[in-house]
Amino acid sequence: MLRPRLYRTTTFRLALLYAGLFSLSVVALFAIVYWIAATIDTRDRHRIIEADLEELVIVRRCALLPVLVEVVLARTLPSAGGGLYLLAGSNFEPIAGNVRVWPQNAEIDDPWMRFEFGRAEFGDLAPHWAEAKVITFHDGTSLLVGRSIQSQFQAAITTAFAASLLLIMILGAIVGVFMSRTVLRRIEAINDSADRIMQGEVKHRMPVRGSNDEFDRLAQNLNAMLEEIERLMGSIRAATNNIAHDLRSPLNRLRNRLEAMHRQMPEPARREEELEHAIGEVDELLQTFNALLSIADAEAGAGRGNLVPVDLEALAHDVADLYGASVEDHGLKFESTIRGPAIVIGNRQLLFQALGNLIDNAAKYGASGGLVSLELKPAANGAGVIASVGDRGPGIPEADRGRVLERFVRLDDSRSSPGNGLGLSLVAAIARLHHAVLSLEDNKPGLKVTLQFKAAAAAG
Amino acid sequence: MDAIEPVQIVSKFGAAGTAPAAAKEFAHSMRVLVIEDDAQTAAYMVKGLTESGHTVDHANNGRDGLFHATSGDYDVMVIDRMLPGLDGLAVIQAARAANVSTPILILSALSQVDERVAGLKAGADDYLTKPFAFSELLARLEVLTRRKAPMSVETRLAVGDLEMDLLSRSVKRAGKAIDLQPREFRLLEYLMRHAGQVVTRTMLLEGVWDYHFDPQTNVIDVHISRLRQKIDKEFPTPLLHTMRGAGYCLRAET
Repeated sequence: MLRPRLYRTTTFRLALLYAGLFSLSVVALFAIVYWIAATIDTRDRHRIIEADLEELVIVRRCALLPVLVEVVLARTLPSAGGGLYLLAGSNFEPIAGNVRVWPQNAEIDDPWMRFEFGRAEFGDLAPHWAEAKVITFHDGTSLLVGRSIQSQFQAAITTAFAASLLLIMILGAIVGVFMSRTVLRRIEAINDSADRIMQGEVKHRMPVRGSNDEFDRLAQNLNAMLEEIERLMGSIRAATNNIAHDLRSPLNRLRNRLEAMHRQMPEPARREEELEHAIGEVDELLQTFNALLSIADAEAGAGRGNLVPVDLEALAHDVADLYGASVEDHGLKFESTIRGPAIVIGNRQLLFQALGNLIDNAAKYGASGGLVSLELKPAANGAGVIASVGDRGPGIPEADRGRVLERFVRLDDSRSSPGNGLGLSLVAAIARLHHAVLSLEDNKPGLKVTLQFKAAAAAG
Repeated sequence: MDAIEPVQIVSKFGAAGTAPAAAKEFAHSMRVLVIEDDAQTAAYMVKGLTESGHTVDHANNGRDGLFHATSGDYDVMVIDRMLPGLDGLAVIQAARAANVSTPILILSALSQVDERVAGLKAGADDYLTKPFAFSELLARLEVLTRRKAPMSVETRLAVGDLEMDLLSRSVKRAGKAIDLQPREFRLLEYLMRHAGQVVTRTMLLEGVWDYHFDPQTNVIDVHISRLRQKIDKEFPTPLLHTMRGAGYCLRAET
């Protein structure tokens, strides 16, 4: 058997998909947080720059240029607020400040400008982006006040999110592997069991853990299915054995008879008689075969599509008419109580055979009771029809009632009487085809076989 | 073929060796087309039918069969349900489409009730399940060819001194009224309509009770013996004869 690779299992793929989706939402969250943080940061920066610039403008307005230079130099000390300053002459030549040259390739977003600069004095060799505002005084000098855009806060957010993203990915993969292995192990257990059953260990069953989870339910259902299959196989085996047994005897008799004729070549009159017996035996065999085929047909649900409304009342009258005479011929009294309406969805031919078989059986096995009765009436609750055939014979012990419905089963007392043991099996198969309930009851005394049909509308 | 009677075949099963002379007037020679692919079954039918005085053509596949069916002039056709080349039902449908109205009997190993209905729907007139007794086949073919004659509206049937008035629904034998139950009346009517022919138990179950299956038990025999009590018992010559291994025949002995 092919064992699925871990990463090809559905569970693993699902886990990965979940991790992926989760990462995506984390990224979205990050984008939102970052955007909000950046907006707040920009606003703060602008406010600080503007306040700073305003102070310096006031200084310039109240004092001479050297005073401003002093103030700017004071603000560029490492202990100061970390702002960027550049005081330049009319030709943008630097006079004072921590920005060494006037920015050349600045992006202008009036009144703001953004530029790249190196801040070697901060120990930061990589270029940074900075934002600044510029004011030009009437003597031609310009003052640039700005701040670095890169804030510590944003850097922290970026790091945090990157780390959590990585963590989610790793966790997702681990959980995926773990879940896949758990699920896989249980599926493997079921697969192993299926393998063993296929290898011939038909008694083996799927493992049930007792946790009543979906795997347990699956295993229980599979086990129930296996039980049913085993039961059906058992009944097929029993039927096959019975068929073999019940057909072998007449075939053997036939063979003996033909062999004897072949050896002795009896005179014509005797030969006629022997041949007639032989044909009679073949006919009996054919009848058995036909009965078996009828049962198989009915059991396979043949013609289920062709079930039509059947008037059971008229049919029961026909059955009574045809079979009543032969019951009386057996020296028994025949009684029929037929009360309609009794429309069922069914197959007229099969229903007739079923009732006929029941009456036949009643006359055969209930002969001692002197009475066979056929009754048809609407069910007590109004939904459906009840047909029953009763006799006053010895009946069937409760323990044997289920068994007699099986093919070829004949109770020991009846072994000597003619019949192939298929009559009730056919009735049972026809009942199943019609979704009718077949029950054997005590007729006190005798046997009463009842067929309970559903109402025509419900049975459809 | 003058000496050969349809009922003679029952002698194979040990019945009377010579056919009653009275049956002769009903005997007729049929031209039969047999379309059957199983060589042994076909040979069995051809032999039996020929011995019974009928002319038989045989085709062993659907195509040839259809050719014969549409070009030849037959009284009745026996067609196997499952044939190589062209399926039996298709042959029947094609023949019917070509305005061939010859009665057709389907022979089939399929016994399901549905199969029977499908066969009759396709245009066949009767259906016989394999394996079959030759007497059953012959009896059914006889009835089918007789059915072909336009059914005149009869009001009176008579066999020997037995008379049936279909209007007043009364039966008399030798002028003496016989009281029959409705079902007995229908049984006798069926037998009288097929007087001189062998009717089998399954034919009676179909014709009188309208159910199609092999009764397997003696249910039909009981009804026949009751009828026989009424029409034959008090009279010197019996009319209702049992053909062993085949069925029954109502005929006047002369």
